[in-house]
Amino acid sequence: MSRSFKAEIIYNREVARNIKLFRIHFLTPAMNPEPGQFYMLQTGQFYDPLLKRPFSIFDADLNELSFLVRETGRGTAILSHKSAGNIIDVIGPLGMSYPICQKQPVIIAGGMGIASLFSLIKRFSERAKVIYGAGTAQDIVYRDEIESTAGDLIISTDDGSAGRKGNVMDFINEFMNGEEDVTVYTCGPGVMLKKVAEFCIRKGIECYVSLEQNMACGLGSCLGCVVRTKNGYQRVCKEGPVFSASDIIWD
Amino acid sequence: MKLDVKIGKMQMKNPVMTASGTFGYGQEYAEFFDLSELGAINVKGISLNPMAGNPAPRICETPCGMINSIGLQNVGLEGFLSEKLPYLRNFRTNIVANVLGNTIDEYIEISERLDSEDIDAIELNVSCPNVKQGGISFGVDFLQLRKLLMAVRSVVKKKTLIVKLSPNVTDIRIFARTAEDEGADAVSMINTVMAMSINVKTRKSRIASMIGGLSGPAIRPVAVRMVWEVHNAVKIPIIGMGGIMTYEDALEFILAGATSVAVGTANFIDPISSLNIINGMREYMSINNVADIHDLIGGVNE
Ligand SMILES: Cc1cc2nc3c(=O)[nH]c(=O)nc-3n(C[C@H](O)[C@H](O)[C@H](O)COP(=O)(O)OP(=O)(O)OC[C@H]3O[C@@H](n4cnc5c(N)ncnc54)[C@H](O)[C@@H]3O)c2cc1C
Ligand SMILES: Cc1cc2nc3c(=O)[nH]c(=O)nc-3n(C[C@H](O)[C@H](O)[C@H](O)COP(=O)(O)O)c2cc1C
Ligand code: FES
Repeated sequence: MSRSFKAEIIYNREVARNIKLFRIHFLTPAMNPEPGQFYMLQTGQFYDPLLKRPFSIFDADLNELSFLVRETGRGTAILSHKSAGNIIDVIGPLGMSYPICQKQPVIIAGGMGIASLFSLIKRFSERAKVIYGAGTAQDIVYRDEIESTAGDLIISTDDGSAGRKGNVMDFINEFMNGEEDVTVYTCGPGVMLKKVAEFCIRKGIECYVSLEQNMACGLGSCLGCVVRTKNGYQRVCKEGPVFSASDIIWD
Repeated sequence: MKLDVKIGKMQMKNPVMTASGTFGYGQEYAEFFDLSELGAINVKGISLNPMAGNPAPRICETPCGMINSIGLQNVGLEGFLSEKLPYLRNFRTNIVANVLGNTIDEYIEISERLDSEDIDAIELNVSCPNVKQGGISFGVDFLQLRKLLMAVRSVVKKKTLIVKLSPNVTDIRIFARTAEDEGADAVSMINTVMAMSINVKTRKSRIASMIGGLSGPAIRPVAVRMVWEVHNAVKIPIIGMGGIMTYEDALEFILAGATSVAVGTANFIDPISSLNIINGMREYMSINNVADIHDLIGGVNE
């Protein structure tokens, strides 16, 4: 079984504004991912774009993987336009997964952060308390599935078009009774991660964040994807993408 | 069919090695193929003391290439010898130690030590464009390069000594000749091409240290041209690199005059690139009735 394999696209369909669900199935035996891990997907042909792009595992079944892809640049635009039957090169699963703790899990997703956290919500199922914030109703994906899986769910949008109006920080306290007994898992925009991390560090709450950084190899060899931590520069693709919030130097 | 080549005293079973800084210390790739298949493994640049490297973002993509400014992050000489080298020695292949220093004394200290360790060749990185006081002055100033090589050659007595040339000069032949005159066993070329990319939305450079080194297919024609020029200027063997993705790309370098080739950025895109290149070369030689790879070296028709 190799972490480098070819996969065929089963389908590619829009699930929210500018967001596609990209489902592939592997043509050669591959390994099963854990929540929080990611894959490098080929986008271009003939080395343009050159590098593979990193995407969190959104969901995995026997022989099949799905990803949520938001179009933000050239590589994601090319991926968004691939259709059933196309074959791409894939490397993964890569990186460290979310540690599964015994405490009450509080999962905080901001926007596309849900891509990384959805499989974790499924793993914890009714134990999970989830805050899922996004810009507007149009940016929310898989609301029904999350609602029926998680034990508790707060949806929030900046404009109030879905769920409650506000951002995740406005609601974070609602799931924090018995603070010492919760573990927070979070993924989303950098500004939000920093706020969640600082909140948890202040209160002494265990917190895991999933970070992003430009990547070339995804394997740990180029040293391109580092973040500053208390233990020096660490690779997002190898020591991460999931880090303990208290290890990161937030500035 | 003969694929083996010799670089100084280093006997390679085929001409393909990995390029420094693109293959870590081998560990990350061992799960994908048997590293013993390689002609040689060239490791991440080694400095006297461990180096932390540059702030992020360190890399960005550009058309058919990428710019990096890793800042020579590495485990340092002792770390390399105690933690990395024993693992690499599990494979039946040559190990090339890429060396960098901030001063001539540092180069001497590292090279002298490595000369008595279990490695096969020392490659001097005199061309890394990333660290302000780093290799840059040696690689682009041939008088400095001469001084450095005189000093290092006198302490490297047993191992093959390779000088890695910077392309960021007006006439690379001058530097190749300097290397040859000062007793280098081979030159390797090219290191990355100094480059910059700006995000017009944020009006910031796409990498934190403003400028970095361009690698990948974008630089290949420049690299092939330089190999050809140097092949016509010196007699010592050339290790050619710059954007090699396929065996055809590798053969371009060999036809231009390279004896050996190194695979760099391609390792990031497909971890078994170098193995595919070795197999592709073999197939090409068999289809085209080439009995010995030496029949292709410098064989471009004029
Ligand atoms: C561990 C990890 C998991 C991710 N998971 C997802 C996911 O599930 N869904 C999703 O839509 N996106 C995800 N991303 C972000 C996604 O990788 C980028 O949006 C994508 O690489 C952009 O490529 P592009 O060519 O469209 O954009 P461009 O901006 O044109 O890309 C140029 C270069 O910058 C890099 N780059 C740009 N933005 C990012 C970024 N945010 N993170 C890393 N590299 C970037 C690209 O890889 C490429 O090399 C993840 C990133 C990381 C690091
Ligand atoms: C991420 C990265 C790190 C590198 N680190 C080193 C290094 O430590 N020492 C060195 O001599 N060259 C280093 N190089 C240069 C490569 O060895 C090679 O000369 C260059 O990338 C051109 O080959 P390529 O286009 O096939 O990558 C590095 C290149 C890259 C992309
Ligand atoms: S992407 Fe190369 S080390 Fe992380």
